[in-house]
Amino acid sequence: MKIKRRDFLKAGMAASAAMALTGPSLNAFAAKPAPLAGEKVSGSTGAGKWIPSTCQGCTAWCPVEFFVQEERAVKVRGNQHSKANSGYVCPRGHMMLQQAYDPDRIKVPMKRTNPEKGRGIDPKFVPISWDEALDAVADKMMELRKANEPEKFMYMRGRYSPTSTDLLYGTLPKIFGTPNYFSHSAICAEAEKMGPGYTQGFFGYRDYDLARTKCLVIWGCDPLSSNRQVPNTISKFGDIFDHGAVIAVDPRLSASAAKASEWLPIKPGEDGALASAIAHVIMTEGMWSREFVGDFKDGKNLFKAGATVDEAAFEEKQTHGIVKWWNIELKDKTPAWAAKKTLIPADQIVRVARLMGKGGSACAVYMGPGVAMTPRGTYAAMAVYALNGILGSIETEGGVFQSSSAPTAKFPEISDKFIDELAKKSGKGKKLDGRGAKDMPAMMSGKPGSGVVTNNVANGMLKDPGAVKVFLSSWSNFSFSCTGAQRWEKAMAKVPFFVHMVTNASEMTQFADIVLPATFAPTEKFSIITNMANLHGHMSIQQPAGKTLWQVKAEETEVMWLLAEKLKARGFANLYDYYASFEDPETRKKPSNASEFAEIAAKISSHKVWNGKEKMKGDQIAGWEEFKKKGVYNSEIYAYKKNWGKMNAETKKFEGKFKTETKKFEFYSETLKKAFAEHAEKHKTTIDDILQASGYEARGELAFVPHYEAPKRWGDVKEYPFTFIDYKSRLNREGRSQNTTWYQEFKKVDVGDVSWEDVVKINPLDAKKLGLKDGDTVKLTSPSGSITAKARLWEGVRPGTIAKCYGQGHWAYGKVAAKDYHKFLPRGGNNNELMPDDYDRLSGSTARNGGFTGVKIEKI
Amino acid sequence: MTSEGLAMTIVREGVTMDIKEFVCREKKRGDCYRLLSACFYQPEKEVFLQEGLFENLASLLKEVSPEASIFAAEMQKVFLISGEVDLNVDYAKLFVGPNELLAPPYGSVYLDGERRVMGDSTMEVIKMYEEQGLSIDREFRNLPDHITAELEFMHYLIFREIEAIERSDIAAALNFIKVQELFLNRFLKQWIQPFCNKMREGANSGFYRSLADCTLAFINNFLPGDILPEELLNANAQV
Repeated sequence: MKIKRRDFLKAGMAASAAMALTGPSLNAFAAKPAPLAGEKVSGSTGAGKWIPSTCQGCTAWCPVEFFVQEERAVKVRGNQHSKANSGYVCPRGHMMLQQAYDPDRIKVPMKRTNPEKGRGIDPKFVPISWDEALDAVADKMMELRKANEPEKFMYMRGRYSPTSTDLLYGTLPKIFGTPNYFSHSAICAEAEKMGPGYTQGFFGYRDYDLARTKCLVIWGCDPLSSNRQVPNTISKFGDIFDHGAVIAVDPRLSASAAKASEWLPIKPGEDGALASAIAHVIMTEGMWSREFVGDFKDGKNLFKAGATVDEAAFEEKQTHGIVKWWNIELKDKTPAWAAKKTLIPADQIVRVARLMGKGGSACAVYMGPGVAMTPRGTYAAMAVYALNGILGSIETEGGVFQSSSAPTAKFPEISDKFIDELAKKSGKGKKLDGRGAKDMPAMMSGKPGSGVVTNNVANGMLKDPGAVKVFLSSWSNFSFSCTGAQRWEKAMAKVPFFVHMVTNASEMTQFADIVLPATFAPTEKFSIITNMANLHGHMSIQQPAGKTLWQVKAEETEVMWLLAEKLKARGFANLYDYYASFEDPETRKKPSNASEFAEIAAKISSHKVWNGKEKMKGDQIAGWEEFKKKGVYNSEIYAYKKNWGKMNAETKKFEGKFKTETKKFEFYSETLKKAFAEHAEKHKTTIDDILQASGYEARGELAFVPHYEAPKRWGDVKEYPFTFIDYKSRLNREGRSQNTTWYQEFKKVDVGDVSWEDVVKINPLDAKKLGLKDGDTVKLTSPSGSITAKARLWEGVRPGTIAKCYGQGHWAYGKVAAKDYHKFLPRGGNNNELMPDDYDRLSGSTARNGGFTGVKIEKI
Repeated sequence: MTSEGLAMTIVREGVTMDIKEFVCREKKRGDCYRLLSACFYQPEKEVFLQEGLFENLASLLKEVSPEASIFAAEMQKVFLISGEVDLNVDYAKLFVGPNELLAPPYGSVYLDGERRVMGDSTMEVIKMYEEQGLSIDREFRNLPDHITAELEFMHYLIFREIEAIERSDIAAALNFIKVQELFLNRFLKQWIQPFCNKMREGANSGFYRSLADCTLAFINNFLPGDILPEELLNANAQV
């Protein structure tokens, strides 16, 4: 933003004594041939065209199209070729326009001029050039290499491209030599994966045959508003009632619950109790799937309340341990027992279990983070997910599926020649997130110590303030998005050099030394995105739709290339040499600059679907240009029962395909048992000791089956009488949309919410006791902090529970999001300042659901 | 604005001027727009002072817009004693970010009814630039309705106007005056007041407060075609 032409500053025309002029002195403009008579010039009325790209406003990653006129995106729709969303976006898709054209976006690189850091301290940023910014970053990084401490460089990713991330997250730490690179994943919904993971061997997010389901059980999420396939759910939801029922289990009257055939307003955190009771009813009433689970050898149902069953009496098919599960957990978990825990009447539990049984293998239990992202969430996730196992709805018509995928190609291998001795040595050090400690098993994918513990990084930083000297992060805002947010502010204030690559200056940016303007990915970044929905996997392009604004650059590709050049100039060429070894799969050309690198990377990731060499079972695409034009590749439809095992006629042995220890669906998880044993062995202790250290109630055999664990609660009930629950808005674009006026104006589309406000929803009976009326300002206090919000009297939560949407409470992020940035005043309050940091330690996930926080309410 | 509108303005003013004197005055007016535009770029103390940016601006304004000149002189005074970092911090907060922009320097933020950039008014501005044979330079890396571009566009139109007079193309000169008036009335003048108000309120340094006053005084008080030489006045009357 400096003047580039010095003559622009000179006295100019007036100084010339002669009348003759040589030419205007221009800085912002370039001469353009004048239009011929009748020739069309630019303007908003020009013809436009649809340019495909991908929305990353939630985890659905929908293929979309932007209508672009005169290099400006003016409208959004789902990609017309997409099978994941059938050509539609949800409400949040439209807000991309306001995000892209937000005047508060970061426009140019900036540096901090005030060395003091903290909330309420003005960073005093000033604009600098990309060159100056990356010189500063490269210098700091090289200082670490020279001091033989590259492990003090840390990278943390927020939202990322599933392919381009390999160029930053997957490459930079490895080549530079640090073990300290962390994903945001564990503050999202990772604990959910423990359900299908430790039963079915699938540690991933599921898909659903919504078009054919006869009973959809929405549990701990609101797929009409958020959670992985919103447009697909919106388009199919209404039809489910024509051929079955929708059941919603949620302490809050969500959009889905408001429409459901049955709403079970469960007491927060008691999901395991309800799941066990439903399983109990399904089994005692003989509604389990004979085809998937098997049957009693004599056909007589021995599952009677309280009665232990002989394991030998039952012959299983695709499953393992049904009787053990019954004996260890289910036999006493009657609806009457569960009614006391969950506050759901026993007759409703029975009624719902029967509806599910009637749906049978066409009943899909759609589990969300509300079940799992709690301090003991692994077991609740297993208990809820296991219902799909009993019903036999695994990969069946109307059932639940593992994810479909599209065939991406990997980038070239990072061979040893790019990793020097220092990087090899330092890269293997201990990670700062504490994964694998005795009390943090983090056993994602069956491997102890393999799961990221995102939110614990702040604790690691606080414990050892010297551990991170240079911190790079992209598309993140951990001091807002992590529970116990205040810890992050403390930790960030101590980081000597922090580089933030984001679209908007968030709360975390206030601690940055260098701010780099990132592209708004859906309209400005070149990348390949993959995901699945509606039984299809898809590969979808992200490409500039309209003109890229200001001086923004793509953080995972362009910026990495430029940084690699800077490091090379300082004698560390490995990163550059690796990137420069890439080849365009079509032309074999190697990249020579940042933008070529970005496009070549996108071509490498996607080339299998368009190069014509591989036989694709899904869409047929003729080449790169056609792929850019269509924007999406849809895989073939998921084959039913794809992973069901078969009896080998020759060997007479059952050959299972699930990726569990037994190759079967495990109600008694040998896979979990093995992981526990490995972790206990590493710490030279017992599994029970691990359970105790990690805060679980189970001991002995109970640890290996889906089961009920009492919810953990922060705050004494006497002092903090209300149980707090957090939920997501249908307008949240992962916490990034609050600076758009559409978010604020349309906030009322979240059931019970109010436009331009941040409301806490309180049952009117509770409000009456507290003397509160609608619209009163209240202070909410938990053991970890206080926030203020407006009281909203609402019957959609039961007495004793209060609900508040995540998203508001920004004191930074722009003029609309913050009430007054310059006074550091938030609009409403951030839920993450109320909720303390706690974990489902078996997965490493952050607790943010299940009512684990007690709160008191005061009128102010 | 139509040519009738322009004629009315001219008749209302009813002041004429020798053509040489007029051209001289227009050159100064054109330079004022350019130098004012320069003031909205990132402050570089050495460069600005070496080129005598504010002195030049003040002296040009003294002759064409004395009320604005006072503020330019004040700018010069404050700029000299201000630290470059402080000026840059203020500049960033007002016009760049990265947090809330105190004085968004984009026309569309004020004109399009939504708090956004690249609005419909931006597209109209681009259209006017293109009609005059201009496009935003690739190196500019800012938006077409940024204050610097709009002020520079006025400079360009005045340059073309003078050029036309010099080759005795009075009709063309009148047309360039008309385009200036149109651009000012449809765009720049529509948002310069709230923009300068925000600048004045948000500025930490006296430099930007004075720049706000200077810009406002110049744009509001000095209109194209307020004084015309006989040659142009007659030609205009014949239109």
